[in-house]
Amino acid sequence: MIDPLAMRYAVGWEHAVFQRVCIGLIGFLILFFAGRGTWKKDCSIITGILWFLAGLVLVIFASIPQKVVELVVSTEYQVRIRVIMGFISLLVLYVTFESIRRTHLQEKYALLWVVTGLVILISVLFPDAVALFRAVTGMEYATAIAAVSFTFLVMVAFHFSIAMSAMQSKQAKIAQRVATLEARLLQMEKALDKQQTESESKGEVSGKISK
Amino acid sequence: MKNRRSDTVILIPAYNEEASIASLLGEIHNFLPGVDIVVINDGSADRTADVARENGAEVLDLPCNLGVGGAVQAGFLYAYENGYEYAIRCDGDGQHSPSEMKNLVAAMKAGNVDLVLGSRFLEEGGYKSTWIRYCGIHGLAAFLSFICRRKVTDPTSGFQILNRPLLYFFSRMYPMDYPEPEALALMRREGYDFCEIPATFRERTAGKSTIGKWGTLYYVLKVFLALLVDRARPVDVRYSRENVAGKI
Repeated sequence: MIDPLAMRYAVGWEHAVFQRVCIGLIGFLILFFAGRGTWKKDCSIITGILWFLAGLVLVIFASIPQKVVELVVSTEYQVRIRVIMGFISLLVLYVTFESIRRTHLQEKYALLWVVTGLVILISVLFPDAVALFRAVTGMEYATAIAAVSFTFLVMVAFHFSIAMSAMQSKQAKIAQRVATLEARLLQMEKALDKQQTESESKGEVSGKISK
Repeated sequence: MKNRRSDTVILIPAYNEEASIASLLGEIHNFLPGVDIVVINDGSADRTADVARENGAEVLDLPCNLGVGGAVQAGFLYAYENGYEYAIRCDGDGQHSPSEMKNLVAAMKAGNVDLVLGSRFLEEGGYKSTWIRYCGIHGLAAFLSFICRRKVTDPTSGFQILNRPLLYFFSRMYPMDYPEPEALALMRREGYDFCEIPATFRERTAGKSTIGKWGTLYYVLKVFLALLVDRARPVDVRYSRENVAGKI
């Protein structure tokens, strides 16, 4: 089954020369700067490679021939959804691992995100599992993906509210401790001042007597 | 221990009360000369802390706003760690009159209780409030009396005196927002006891109440929920009356 709207775009692809040339030029610019940055060591190699890939994707996208577009449009829409979801899950996993590596994110929080990414990835790799899920729940693939993501987002949000409550009570304990310590410090300073002035005045008196 | 001059300390949680705190401190000095006063400045934006220091009070300066529960708990912690036998808690807005503090002390020393509550409803007349607040407070009072097995008429009163075992318990466990009714239920579960005495509440001299019309509704719902949830929790025997009284 071919989507008529998608087919219309596919037919128009041939004539959209100006747009495609623009996209291709942007892609070449990104390729150039990514290559130059990596060469001059302005950026890390990983960043350079990522930008290089992004430029490559744009250039390839701009130079897709008409036949390929028609082929893509005529494939099952589920295959396309799987490819997109696969990319999204990889992105989630990459961002999560990168955040852990840079110690921005604690592992216990990252775990939920890793699970989310993995579940989507599994659903992409094993469409049979999705078919089973659909047979049980009656949900279409895209709907099921949305439902799973939504459930995980709710769980993550819930986890955050629990973590926040714990943080608030800890913050209260710290603030109270700080305030009592500060009060004690001020009292000690005052006592010390008093002692010093007393000993000074005593010293003066004894000095006068000895003279 | 070394810092206290009296066996009783007066704890005043204050949030932006620079207008009323000075006269309140003056009154306390008048009625209870020589008593230690601690003002807990709950992250005020005005000069509350400075005014309190100038008027002879010790100040616990919380670095951020914790709400009434957190501020009062800081005071309990201070009172416990500095070896005070009793702590009187009163609001910073001048609603509670310092002349009645000696009634609290007398009731505490006479009865075998851990907390004495000043109630504005024990004597007829005097206090006026909106009908929604009236219903909320009286509904709460009935429910609280039931689960505490003690008569409570003014569960939201912040005019109280506590003894040392209770200071220990509360410095470790105290509800954060709208704490008073929940604290009564918590202490009863741990085996502590309280009683009420009549007290007159004055009109606020400055500032305005922290709880508005919708706030009252939220207050009542939140406190009911907290009271019910607390019933479902196991009793923490580390803080029970017997354990604490034997330890300190």
